[in-house]
Amino acid sequence: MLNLNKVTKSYQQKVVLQDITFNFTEQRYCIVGPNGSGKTTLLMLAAGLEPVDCGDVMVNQHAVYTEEIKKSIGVSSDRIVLPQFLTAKQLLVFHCSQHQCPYPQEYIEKLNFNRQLTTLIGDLSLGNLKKMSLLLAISHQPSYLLLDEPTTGLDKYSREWLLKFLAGYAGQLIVTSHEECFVNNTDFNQLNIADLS
Amino acid sequence: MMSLLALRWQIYHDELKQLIASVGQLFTFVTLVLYLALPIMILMPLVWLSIIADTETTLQDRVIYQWSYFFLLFCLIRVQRKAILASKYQHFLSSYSQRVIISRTTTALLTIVAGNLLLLAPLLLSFYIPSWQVFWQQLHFPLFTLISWFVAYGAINLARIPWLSLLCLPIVLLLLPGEFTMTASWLNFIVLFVMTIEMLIEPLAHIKPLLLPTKYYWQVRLVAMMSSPSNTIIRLFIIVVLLSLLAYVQQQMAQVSQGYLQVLFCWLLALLLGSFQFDNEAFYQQYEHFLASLLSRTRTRYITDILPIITLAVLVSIVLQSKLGFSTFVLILLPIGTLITIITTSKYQRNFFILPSLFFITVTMLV
Repeated sequence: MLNLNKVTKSYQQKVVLQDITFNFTEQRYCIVGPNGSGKTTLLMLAAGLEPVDCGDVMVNQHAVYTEEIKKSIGVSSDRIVLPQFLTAKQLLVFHCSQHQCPYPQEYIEKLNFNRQLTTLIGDLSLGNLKKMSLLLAISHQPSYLLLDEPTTGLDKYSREWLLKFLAGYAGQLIVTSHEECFVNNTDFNQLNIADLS
Repeated sequence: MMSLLALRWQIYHDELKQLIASVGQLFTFVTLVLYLALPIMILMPLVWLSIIADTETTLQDRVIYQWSYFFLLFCLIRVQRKAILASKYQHFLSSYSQRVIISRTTTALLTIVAGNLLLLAPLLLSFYIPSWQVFWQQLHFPLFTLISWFVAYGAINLARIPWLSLLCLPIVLLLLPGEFTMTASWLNFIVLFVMTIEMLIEPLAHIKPLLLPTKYYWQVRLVAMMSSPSNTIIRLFIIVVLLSLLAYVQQQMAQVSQGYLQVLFCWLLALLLGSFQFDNEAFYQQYEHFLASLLSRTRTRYITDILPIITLAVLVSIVLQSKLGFSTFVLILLPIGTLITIITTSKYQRNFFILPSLFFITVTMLV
């Protein structure tokens, strides 16, 4: 279970999140809120990708920054700048080597990503970059999946497959989105970021 | 109204400023410390030109000096390639109707600006023709000039480095038996021929690029370095020029350096080598979140990243000790000085040189 305990985060003296305490007890959450309200920052903190100014982020009573916990988290966000100099395949190979997981050939095919494998990350289109980011998030079968606007830029077929995949996903899922498929979805607990602060 | 030339110049100027800013700390330091040596460093290629122009120069010396010149020219223009071609803005520029000839002329003019002294000096010297008899006797020099312009063209237009003419050919020529002789003009005819073939056919471009494995973090860093090698090339170039200067001075003075001079040189080299850490820091900053998502520890990655710099420092210290008559002490001093510079670069950024300088001042006082 993911817990935020009195978490505060600010950028250049501008407080984005203040004193947030929340326990993610349900299986699916959709975090909503206007642009710039701190949804992506919340995901970055929850994934242990940014340090908190104050407070703790815990997963099953362990700090999120430990190797074991990191292994159990999959995160996709446009804020994570991927290595522009690698090809998509090189990055996937590296990711699988890090997590000691099999190469995600099935997901690659489902997302129709085969033709992009030899393309440099820096040359990928917005939609393909999103697919790449999603592949990195899901390929090691994490127990916690944190997805920032996961359907943005995806083509119709990939979008349908992703929604189907997420519907069958057994772990804890936290998404930020403005899309109807998440916002008006009763499977997801709607969490307004304004209510957290 | 802004013309295409003015816009391209503006882009070139801006990109160059960014490139210099990325190695800015190093340039500031080099300018401060090597203030008096800078004119010598800049004029050194002109000294090479006088050796290249001399018909009495041996084949081996000619190969060394000519290819040093070609390589320097190639690197100088290659690191500015994206700025010259305005690669970042190619789609924006393509959205305007522009004649190909104007675009190419602009690229040519910017290439001349980028290559400046190295490109123009041989050309001006080639125009000095007292008589046709002298011209035929000195034919190798106009040919050399032509090759220099080919090198500049290749640095801009070739997708890959012309390994055949820039690396393989000089190695083959240096491996030829000592008794083998060839006139300078013939040599340059052969070089021109090989280079023309390489420019037209690009035989190496047909070979599929080697896709390096990326299983481990260090392999990812290697790919990163190879994908944008300009900063590394600039730093390595300054190190090689420094070592060449030192070798030249020692050859002229025929004596082993004094103790304090050895420490001074170690200080310079340690700061140069340690400044490689600026590239690592820039990498950490650019891929902050991606790196945070990795399972390996920050400290392990840091050690992986500084290991090549320390190895380079050890190699340079071995060269100093074995080839340039430096004391054995340098084998410890330079790697330690480099390590201190690396750490202070990570901690203090722009003020990276203060602590290592204090360290070397203390060592000088002890020596």
